[in-house]
Amino acid sequence: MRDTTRAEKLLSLFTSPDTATAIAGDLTEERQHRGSIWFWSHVLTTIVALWRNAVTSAPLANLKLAAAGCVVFATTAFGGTAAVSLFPQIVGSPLYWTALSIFWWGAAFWTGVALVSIAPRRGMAACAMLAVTGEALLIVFGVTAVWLDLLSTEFIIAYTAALVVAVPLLAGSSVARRRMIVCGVPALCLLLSVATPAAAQATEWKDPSRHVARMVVVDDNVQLEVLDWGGSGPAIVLLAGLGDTAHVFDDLAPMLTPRYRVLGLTRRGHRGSSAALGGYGFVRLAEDVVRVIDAMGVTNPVVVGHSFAGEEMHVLGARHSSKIRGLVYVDAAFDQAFAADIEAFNAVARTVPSAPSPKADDLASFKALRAYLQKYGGAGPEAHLRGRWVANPDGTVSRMWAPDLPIRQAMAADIQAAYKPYNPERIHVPAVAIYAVPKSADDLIRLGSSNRLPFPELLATVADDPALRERIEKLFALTRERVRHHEQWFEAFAEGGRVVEISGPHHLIVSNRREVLQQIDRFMSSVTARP
Amino acid sequence: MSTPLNLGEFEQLILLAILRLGDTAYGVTIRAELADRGGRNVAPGALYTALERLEAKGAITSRMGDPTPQRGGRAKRYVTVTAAGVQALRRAVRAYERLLDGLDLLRGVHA
Repeated sequence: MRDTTRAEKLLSLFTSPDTATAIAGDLTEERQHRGSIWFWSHVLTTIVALWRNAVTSAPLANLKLAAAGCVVFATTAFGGTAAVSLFPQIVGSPLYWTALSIFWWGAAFWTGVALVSIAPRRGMAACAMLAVTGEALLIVFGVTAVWLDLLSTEFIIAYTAALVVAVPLLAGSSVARRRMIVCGVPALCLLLSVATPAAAQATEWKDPSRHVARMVVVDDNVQLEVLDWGGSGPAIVLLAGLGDTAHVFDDLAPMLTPRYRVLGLTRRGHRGSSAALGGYGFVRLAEDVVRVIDAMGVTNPVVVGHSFAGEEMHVLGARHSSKIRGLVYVDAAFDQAFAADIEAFNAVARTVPSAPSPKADDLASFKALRAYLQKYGGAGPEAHLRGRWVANPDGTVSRMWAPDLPIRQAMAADIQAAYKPYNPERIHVPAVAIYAVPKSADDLIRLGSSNRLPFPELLATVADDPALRERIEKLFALTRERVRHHEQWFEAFAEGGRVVEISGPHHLIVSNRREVLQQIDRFMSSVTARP
Repeated sequence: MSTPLNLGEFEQLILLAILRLGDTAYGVTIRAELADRGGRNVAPGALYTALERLEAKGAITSRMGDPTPQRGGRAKRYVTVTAAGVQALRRAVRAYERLLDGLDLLRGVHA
């Protein structure tokens, strides 16, 4: 009885209600001696026959309906494309295919199908025709996506949704066609108009740091990105290491602004600043810093620099001592003449396994990269990562950022020239040099050093491997020895210069931010207390 | 009817079955008649689409009967052949007769 009703409803989609009633009755009558399998298979074959009959008996009318559906489809789809392109951050993001190709185009297609289904009498026939075409196109699209290697979680979810959306749409249109269209289509459009900006919101990454970024001209055709975190009190200028941008200080700077006025700059040839074809000698680079200090109107700043910035700081302390109050070297003060003589040290270092390089999984997204870096010494602010690494259009990370070859060559040539012979002028300002140096052999493995990334997993192996333990002890002894040399060199080089040790890897700015902050505070109070 | 009706072979068989059944012609009985007398097992889908076509051509008319319990309370749709339908059938039969004349086709089969 219930089956008869269901069959009648299905049949009525493809023929007049009277005919549907009569056919359902006929099939029910025969069902008594032929069984329900026979009944349902003939309900279905009858529907197919009626559908074919409807399509072939009036091909032109059906084509017109299909064309109307396509017009609705195209209009909605192009509207959707335009809507998506209003959010440029989606283009090239992992959501691009989802937002554009599937949400809008898929939804638009089904909107067309649904609208066709309300056409009187032949509506359902044309609708089913379009639906079958749509599913076929989707399958082709899916195969293409697999072939082009476009699969992502978002893609699979959206694709499945696009495939199965036909079911509620067709079911809805068969039960209450007009009502479904009147309520359903506007609801779908509303959903999409909300979904697109929401997707855009989710995709867009905004630098959360509260700095004002500006470009400062320091040389002919050379502008540097200067980040101004504001703050009041004595001034601090932050210099990043080679390859890094000023954004590496995005987490540290806000901890300084309550007490100091804080600026940071990205040196020439680095991401965000001009790609100058020369001027990478230390004297010129220091001159760039002085130009920024003058342009920003800060007086007597303390310059805090990491790693390679030490070379610029030497020049500042020697030649521009009237401009600056003092220097804080964050693992940045090295006797480069001694640093070149590192072969014996490296021979031992090579016998101790190092932290693994990032694998494909670690480069699947900035999130994955962050997790990898956190494990091996710290990741730093997101803006720093995005400045330091290159993203692919699909959201994966491709490689570390590097300037174009001619700039790299100019940089390398200028730096090499400055190192041979290495003979920096002595500085005449107060200075402190922080060194990344482990306190024990375990710390060397767990926390790293100037020359080594942390590799905590190795500690588990060390327990069962006395030979490895011995090599690590040896490496630790050599590490200490080398740091001691640099410390002694610095004490001689910087008159009255102080030395501080922090147990950690080279990038203390991201790994040991609080200890670096303490040292800056301590140095600031010592220099600002001076008459 | 200005243009004469053209009937396909399957349509002719259906019309003949309807004529034989008289007042009791509807889906189930037509299929049974075609099976018993015509030796053809016709799928319901094929019959109903043919009936739709025949009605559209004006060869048959239909009326709804009373609902019966063994049909799930659904009415039968009785069909009758129209005058135009009978005429078209007659024309087709005559055409057959003229074409068969002198061929002796059936004797060969029974021999």
